[in-house]
Amino acid sequence: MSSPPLRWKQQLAGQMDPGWASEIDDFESQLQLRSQGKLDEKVFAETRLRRGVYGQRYDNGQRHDGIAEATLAFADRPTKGSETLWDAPGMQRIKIPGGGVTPEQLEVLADCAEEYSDGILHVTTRQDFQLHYIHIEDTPDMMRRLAAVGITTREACGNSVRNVTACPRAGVCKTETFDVSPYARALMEFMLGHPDVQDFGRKFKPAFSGCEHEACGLIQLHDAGWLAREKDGKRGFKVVVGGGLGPVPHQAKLLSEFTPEEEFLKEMQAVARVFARLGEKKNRGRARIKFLVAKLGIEEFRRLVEAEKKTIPHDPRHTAFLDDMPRTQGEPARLPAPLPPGEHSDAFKTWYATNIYHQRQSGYSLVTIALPLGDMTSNQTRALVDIARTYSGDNIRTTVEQNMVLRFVSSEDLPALYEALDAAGLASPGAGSIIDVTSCPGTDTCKLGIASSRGLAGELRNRLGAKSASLPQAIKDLKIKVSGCFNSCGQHHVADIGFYGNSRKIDGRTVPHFQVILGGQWTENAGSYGLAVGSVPSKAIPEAVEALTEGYVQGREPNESFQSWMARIGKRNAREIIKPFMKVPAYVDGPDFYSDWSDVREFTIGDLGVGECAGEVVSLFGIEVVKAESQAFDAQITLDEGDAEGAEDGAYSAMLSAARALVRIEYIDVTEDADDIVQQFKTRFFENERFFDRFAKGKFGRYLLDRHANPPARVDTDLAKQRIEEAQLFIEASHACEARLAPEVAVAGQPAQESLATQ
Amino acid sequence: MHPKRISVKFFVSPDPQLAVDLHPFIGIFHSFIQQKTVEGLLIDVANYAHVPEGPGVVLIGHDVEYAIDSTDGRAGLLVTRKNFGGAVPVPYVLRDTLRKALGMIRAIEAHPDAGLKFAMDAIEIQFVDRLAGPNTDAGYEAARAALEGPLQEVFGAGASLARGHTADSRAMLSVRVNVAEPADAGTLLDRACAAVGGIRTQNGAAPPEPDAKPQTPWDVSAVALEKLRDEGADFVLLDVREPAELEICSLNGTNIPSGQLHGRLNELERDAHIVVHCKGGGRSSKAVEMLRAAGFGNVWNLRGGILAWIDQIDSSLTRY
Repeated sequence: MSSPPLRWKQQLAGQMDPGWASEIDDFESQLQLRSQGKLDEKVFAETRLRRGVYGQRYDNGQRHDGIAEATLAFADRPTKGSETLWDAPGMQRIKIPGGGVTPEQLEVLADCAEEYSDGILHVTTRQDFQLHYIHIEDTPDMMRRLAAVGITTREACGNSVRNVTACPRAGVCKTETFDVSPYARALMEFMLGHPDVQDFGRKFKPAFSGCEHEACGLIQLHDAGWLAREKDGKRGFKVVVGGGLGPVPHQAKLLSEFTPEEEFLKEMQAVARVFARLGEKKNRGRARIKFLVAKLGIEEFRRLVEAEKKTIPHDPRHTAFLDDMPRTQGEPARLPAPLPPGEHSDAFKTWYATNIYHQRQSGYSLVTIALPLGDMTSNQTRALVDIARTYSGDNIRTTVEQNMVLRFVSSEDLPALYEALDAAGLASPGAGSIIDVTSCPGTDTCKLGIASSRGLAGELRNRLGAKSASLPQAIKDLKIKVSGCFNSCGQHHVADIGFYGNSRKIDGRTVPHFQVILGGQWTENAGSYGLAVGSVPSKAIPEAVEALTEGYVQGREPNESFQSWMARIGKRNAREIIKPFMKVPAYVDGPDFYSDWSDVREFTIGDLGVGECAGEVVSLFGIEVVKAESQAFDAQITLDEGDAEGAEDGAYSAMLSAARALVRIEYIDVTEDADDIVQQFKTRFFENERFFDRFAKGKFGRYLLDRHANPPARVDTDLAKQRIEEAQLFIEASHACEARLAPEVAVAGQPAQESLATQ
Repeated sequence: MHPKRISVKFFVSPDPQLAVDLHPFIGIFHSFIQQKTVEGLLIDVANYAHVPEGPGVVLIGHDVEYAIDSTDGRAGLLVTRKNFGGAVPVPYVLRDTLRKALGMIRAIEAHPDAGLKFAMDAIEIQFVDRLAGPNTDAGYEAARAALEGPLQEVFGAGASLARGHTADSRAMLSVRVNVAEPADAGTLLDRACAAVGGIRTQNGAAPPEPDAKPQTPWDVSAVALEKLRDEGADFVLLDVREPAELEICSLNGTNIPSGQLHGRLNELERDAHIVVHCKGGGRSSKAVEMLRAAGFGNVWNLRGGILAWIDQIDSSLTRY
């Protein structure tokens, strides 16, 4: 008999928090029970999600390989939750509160990436790390290794309080009111596993900001946000709730102008209880707190929170954290000193111009490591650890722009630090500039991805990077953000130039597109969102970006921001700029348009939803849906001109037109009457779920049904904006539905001419 | 030692320090999935070309990953074997990984868009498991003891081993192999296949019916068996293993353990088309000879047994 194999569980016993260790043991038992079919699949799905163990694209075992839909021959074992096959690789999300990591933690993350993933650490737009292609059997040991260095993956996914984010400059920033890091940490520790946050209908994303006018913690787009404020020498927060991106973005609303520091945890607990009690539970599409705040109105929501606060019993943890403040600030590794004068290389100067922030602590710098698409290798991570140990101590953070920062670097050391980073391939210049494109995973690994956001981001990065030296400063300062679908994980709403993936049926084939969103605001904590101006095929996006940036540089007034320029020229003119790029050539003339970036397979949305074959390809839809699109577009302009009521009505009309276009595929005689259209849409497409998206289900269809059944008594700007967003999504869903109806043209082995002839 | 993953890296020839054009490999790897050119349960292609000295372009599979990798500044084909479904001895995993790597090399070298050749005079083996294969003196000694024999079987007696990654104890345990008399990839593939049970891998460059060493004059390959099944041919698949073995993995054949076969001949028809298999081909070879001697005229041996089937056709079955 050979000795029993070593196990991490024994190896790390005593190094983990006992509570965390037993949670992981429980998870491992549940995993074994499920693998034997002894635990309900829905229960197991929520269990694993609450531990950050996510599914990944193709995990239902179906994948279009570019020629045909293929079944991946995974073993026949119990699922990991509906449609997620046991052996299909998945994603592990690892939450990093406030983005703060130590060298020891990074070393373990690097080890885990090598041994369980593909040697890549990916930084997300919410300061998490993600590892991809993970096998579920490996997750308990991975969690143990992380727990041994103080990282938990608990509540990294699922309907829970997600990672608490905070500005990476917190504590070193020149404009902050005070360092929010210890408060972010306190909230995370208080809420983790708290009984009041276990019954949410949907996830809850918190964020902290130190400065009102910078981008900082982006609190305006969070479910709840805390902005540092001082009043009569006392610390506290301005508190906002009900923000969020997603398909229908909401700006957060003011809950409290000033909540003293000793009360903010209690207040959060009250918010959690109100959300758990009154928030939507059945319809996931309306379950985020933003919908509850919009439904009740912020005044009523505030009243409920105030009343709830009075019922919460005294808990010493509400204030205990104040006794050992501050405690997240690591010790600098080196003494502060200014950058020595002298000759520096051009490469150093280029990097210095964009990647260095002078801390308020004189002689110290914050250094940004710009990661392409948020990725770095395990070897690079270890190199970064060595550099951090030498130059910055424990002060490493992740950022929502998918980068890393080193804090408390003595400015004197910057030239040596640059050399060391460069040797590890970590000295890319242009942090926070137009080449530092943000992107969610998109079709690379995400089940919801429609178009390749990472492919597009990589292409834009290459093209803009190649000519970055010659770009005018005004262009360099722009931000580009890309999402693979309308769910906004790439935060496209708050970029100067944002994109989200969608698709169009053209020439009998599906063509990857991106909706162009212009003029979002990054500063003022993501103070306002950009607006959709039109869909451009993926392969024409780089040209469209060039035209937009050219148009801006030529047309702007001195010092005019992209956002002000957009507001001045209006969406109609903006659309004119991208219009030449909206056309898709016929397949024979431009087959390249029919595959996505960083992929060679002919594009399909079949991996997203199961197709439904209903017979003939009908091009009538394509002609008629254009009317809906221009109505939605005009509604935006109407709103800009100050007519909220007209805009809301226009958006509703746009939905009716899209629904009518769909109905006419099957029932050509449908009238123009709204009741008739809605009735036909309901019976032909909604009730039988043909309109349903695999993930969003009937959400988008309900936008029309709800509006039709309950016309608003009073329309304000917020409602009109929301309706326009809804119309946009309803039109997208109509396109997607039509694409599912039309049979896909066989791609391989069939001459293009022949397939054209079937049109 | 039973590491959960092992990787083998062959380096680009002539100079692994030159940058490789990764872009064509996105298309090449997608086509390998479409055409099942290389071994494994292949899933998708991941593009990390934007990361310097990283995994480059990766063909992701359930049991194996192939990457055009440039870690440590040396470009090559990195093949990582994983998800064995049990504790598998290192020598076996090594031979199997080598065989998959060499199959991939032949497929890449034959591909017109790849423009890449690989050197056969040096490889690197890594233990992708810091618990079972720690990067320590003791870890290296254990690894050397397990690897030396099988490496010399494939690369010749002149293959010498040395410890890599000595500068950074945090890196994975690495064994660098130098080959005194390099052979071509095809020869190495033959030797690796012979060592794993006589079955030579399928890939675009290899002949359709692998010319491995026969076990009986009446062998059929796993590929041929799959074809019979696909065609819906009328034949009996006879599994001569013990019932306990069937619980580990099975092709759902009729089970008559080899020891009982002689007494249960009446359960089989003499003119039936019969394919016999066991675990690796030993028991089934004897069974085929015995059946033919007893007058069964249409009886065949699955060359390499269920292990060959797992390797070539269905890697989701548990290997034992």
